[in-house]
This record gives sequence, structure tokens and C-alpha cells, in this order.
Amino acid sequence: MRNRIIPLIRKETLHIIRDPRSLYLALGLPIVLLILFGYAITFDVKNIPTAVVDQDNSVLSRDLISRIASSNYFDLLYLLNTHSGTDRLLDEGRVKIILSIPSFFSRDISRKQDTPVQVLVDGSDNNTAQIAISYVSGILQLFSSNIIMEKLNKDGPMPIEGIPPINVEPRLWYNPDLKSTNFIIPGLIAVVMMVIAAMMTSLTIAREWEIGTMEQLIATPARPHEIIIGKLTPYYFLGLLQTSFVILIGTFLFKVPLRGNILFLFCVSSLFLACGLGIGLFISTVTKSQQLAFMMSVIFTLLPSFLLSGFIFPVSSMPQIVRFFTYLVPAKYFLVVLRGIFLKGIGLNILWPEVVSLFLFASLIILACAKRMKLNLE
Amino acid sequence: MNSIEVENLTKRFGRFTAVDGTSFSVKKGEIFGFLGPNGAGKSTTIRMLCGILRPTSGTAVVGGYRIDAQPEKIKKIIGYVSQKFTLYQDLTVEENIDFYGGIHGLSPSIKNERKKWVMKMAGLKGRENSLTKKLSGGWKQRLSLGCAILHQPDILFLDEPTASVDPVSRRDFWDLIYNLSEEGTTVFVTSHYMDEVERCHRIAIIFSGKIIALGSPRALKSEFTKKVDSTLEDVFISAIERERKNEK
Repeated sequence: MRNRIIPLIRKETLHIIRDPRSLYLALGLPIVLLILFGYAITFDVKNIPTAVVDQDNSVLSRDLISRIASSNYFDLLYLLNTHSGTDRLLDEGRVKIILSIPSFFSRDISRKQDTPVQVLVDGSDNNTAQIAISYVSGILQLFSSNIIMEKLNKDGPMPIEGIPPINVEPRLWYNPDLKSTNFIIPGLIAVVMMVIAAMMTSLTIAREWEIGTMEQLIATPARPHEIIIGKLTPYYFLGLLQTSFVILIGTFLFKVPLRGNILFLFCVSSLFLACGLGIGLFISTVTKSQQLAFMMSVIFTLLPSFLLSGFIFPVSSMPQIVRFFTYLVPAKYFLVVLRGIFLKGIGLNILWPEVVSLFLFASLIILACAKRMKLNLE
Repeated sequence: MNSIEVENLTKRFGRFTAVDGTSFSVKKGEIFGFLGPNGAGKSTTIRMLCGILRPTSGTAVVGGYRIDAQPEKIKKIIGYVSQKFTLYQDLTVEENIDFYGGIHGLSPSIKNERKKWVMKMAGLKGRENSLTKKLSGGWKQRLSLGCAILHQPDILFLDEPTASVDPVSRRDFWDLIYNLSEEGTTVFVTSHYMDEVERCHRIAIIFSGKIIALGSPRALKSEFTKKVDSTLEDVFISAIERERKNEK
């Protein structure tokens, strides 16, 4: 009995090479998606357009304003001395935040009284709003504690030097600058690899059904497992090539540090690719139409990888029932591995539960396909 | 000796009965024509005989193997050309031949010998490296036939083989079928061209999933019509009329 798998692999490879669309789908699209999303999705809030209404116009109020203006977080676009017309600035979206200093600001402070500073925030973008509020309160708190210290130093009952102050010195591990690309790029790599792997496999099989070559193929002595291996092998290697592309882009273009072992990264990527190819294969046992295969691979891979993997929303804050479904999303495990290898530089000794989960998922889905895949026309 | 024995073969898709308890047999080396309008159950029958569609009931023995029990064995001894043109259009002529040769497990030396034979038979010499999609209809169709008989099958199934082919190519094609039949290959061919089926040794007329007439073209003509120079078309029409009467 001669080997039938090799002619199948050779034929599939020729399809890939001759069809620029499949090469674009496999190698071009991930790059485009990664660059597009890598620049578009950022949770960093910087340069918030800001207006300040200074009704006091004193040394103190100007000091406060200069602190706000000199931080990276705010872009001081309007400096006004009355409230008239400020509503329009928010309405028209020209500013996201308005800080209003009352006319009695420096008087109250010199009398050692509380003084209110109003902060108007555009809450229609709640994420930016929350971050802006916390930045403003941080600046205001620092400002007021400086004033208190000054007063205490000047006329305090005891010399301030004697009290040991408590300083919080936060040290951020793994991502010291809190760059959100460091967090997003590994997630995007997982999403892109999963979607493309599942889409490519389900489309290539559906295409053979649609043009009728599958009918010819199943009338030959080729066995189902031979057809599956012949179909998947070229796409597996294409997937590995694609993985190297996205890793290169992540590390060189987006400067995500790669602290762990590259070989280990490729081994786990292989497992993850096997999950994606398996899902694609499973879809192709359900439908023989390219259009439906395309839609199903979007629904069963893109959305879960985005929403249920912990990429954007942390799994720990999901309701119990939703959290249950996240265990069925391979991207969830791969994401932990990617962030672990890229940012933390950890290896198999810590990441083994994820690796085992990916292995189980891949074997189960491919076994399920082998059972379901009946090579006949029904 | 019979190459194909069909017994009460039935296929239902939901409530629709595509093939309704047909029985017939095909002798070794015979060219057997399956004539019927579109939707009569021709393709469904051929698919069941090739072992790629399971019958709802009844069975058939093809080349000594039962279609429900040993479809893998059947696939080794048959050649199948389906209704659509189903070679890989993005592969060259030679790559298609290599692929089908490889999948049938031909050894390199036999494959090369058969490849030369197919190139000559199909008149494709010098076009080894042309993409298949660039070939014209007649060439494509001879190449499909060539790929289906690379492994020298005992039984050849052809589903509407000349549907999109010009008359000259069609004549060449039939010459080839005769040669195969003389060498002992059984040929099972479906068609809805009356003049074409006339060349078969025996014909079955299928209508609504049932065989309503069976015999050699000459026998059928004398059975169904009284005219001297009647054609198969006359046979076809009167066979259908008789069937409709029987139903009432």
C-alpha cells in the first residue's frame, strides 16, 4: 500500500501557492489586523481635552492650573474666567472635562477652610471619564497635601521632621510603564491566529464540496483520515509561518518585550494552532457552503476569542455562568501563556495547566471530527 | 458474468424518493446506458453504485463487493467521472494526473507509463504544464476521463460525460469508450441525449426513480413503437406514456 497522504499534501500546497487570496488571508490579513488593532485599541488615556474656569485668578489657582497643564494627561485648550458658554464646550465635545475654581478659592485656603473645586466630566465615554476623574483627584490631592504640609511646617505645633512619613512606593512588575500595547498585542496574536486557522481550514474543505472535487475525491480509495491529514498539514505549516510574522511584528513594531523562551512559545503556538485547525475542521463537518463556513468561523472563533478569553474583559469579573463558557475557549489558555512568556518570562513549570488544557482541547476536537467526518454525500 | 447486480435499490431524501426499488444487472465489458430526464434518479443511482451514497434500502454488488458493506473495496476497482467538471482547475494537466495517480497508489514507473498513455489519448501532448482551467471543454473532458482510468479500473461510471462538449469531441469520446469496452472494461453511462445512448449495448430508461424500460436499443424500438425508422425518442415517449397509464 503506497502512501496517499503525500500526493494530498502536495496538491493542497499547490492550491495555496496558486491562490493569492489564501496567502493573503493567511499572511497578509493577520499583519493588517495586528497593525490596525494594535494602534486603534489602547486603554491609555492621554491628552484629554480640558477647559479650566478660573474665577479666582490668584497665585494659588494659577499654581493648580499649571500642574494640570503640565501633566501629560490633560490638554488645556480653554482657560476662561466665567462659566458662560462652558456647557457648549461639553455639548459639542470640544472638551471632555471642565475644572472650575471658585472665586473664593485662595481666600478659603488662607482661612484654613475647606474649598470646593468643581469637576465637570463628559460621562458619555465612561472609561475615559473614570480615568480623567482619578487623574484630577490625584493632582488635587497632591496639591492640597502640599498646602497642608506647608502650613504645618510654617506654624505647626511640632517640627514636622520628627514624624516618619509613610510613602507608598508602587513597583509595577512585568509592565512597568503600564503600556497597554504590552497587554493588547499578545491578546491580538491569539485572536488572529485562532480566526485565521479555523477560517482557512473550514473554507478549503467547503470549497472542495462546492466545486465538486470532494465528490471525486471521496470516490477514490483515499480514507477520511488521509484526506484530513493531507488538508491540515500545509495549513499547519502556513500557520506556523504566520505565527512567526505576528511575533516579529509584536516585538519589533510594538516593542512588546519577549522575555521567555521562544522555542517554548512556538511549541505552545503549535498546540493552539491545532485547536484552531480542529475547530475549522469541525465547522466543515457541519456545513458544505463556503459562506456559512466563513460566518461560523467568525461566530465560533472571533467573538469568543475577543470577549470570553480575558483579552478585553477579565474572566474573574464575569458572571458564574459566563465564566463556565470561557473554559471552552482555547484563546483563554493561550492568552495566559502568551502574556506569561512575553511579559513575565515564565515557562512550563508555571504554565503547565494551560498547556495541558490546550492539548486536551486539540485532541478532543480532532477526535470528534474524525468521528463525525463521514466521507459520503449526506 | 455480471459486473453490477442491483437489487431493489431505493434512496429517499426525506419524503422524496429519488430511486424507487430499481433492479438490473450489467455484464462485464458491457456499455450500459442510463437514460432519463433531469431529476429521474440517474446521478443518485451512480453515486450509490460508487459507494459514496448509502442506499435507504436494497443493495447492489459492484465488482463482487456489496456497496453497503465494502465501499472501500469498490473505490479501488472503479473509475468515476461526476457530472460537474471536477479536476483541479488551478493545477496543471500533469499535476492533476500525478495527483490521481498518487491517490490510487500507482508506482512511479506505472504512473509514468499511464501518464504518457493519457496524454496521448487526450491529445494533450505538449500541454503538460498548462493550467487545467485554460483547456477547452473537449480537452478537459478527455482529461477527466484519463484521470478516472489511470488505475485501469474494471468498471467505469460516467455521469453525463458529454454534457458540455462539441460533436466532434463527443465522437472521439465514444470511440474511446468502445475501445475500453473491447478491452473488458464495464462502462455505466448516464445521459439525456437520445442519439448518444443509441451507441450503448443496452439501455435502461429511468423515470421518477423507476426503470420503465430495459433492453438493447433495437429491442426497445420494436417493443415500444411500430414505426420502421423509429428513434429512441419515440421509445422514450411511449415508455413514459405507458407508465402514466399504469399508474392510473
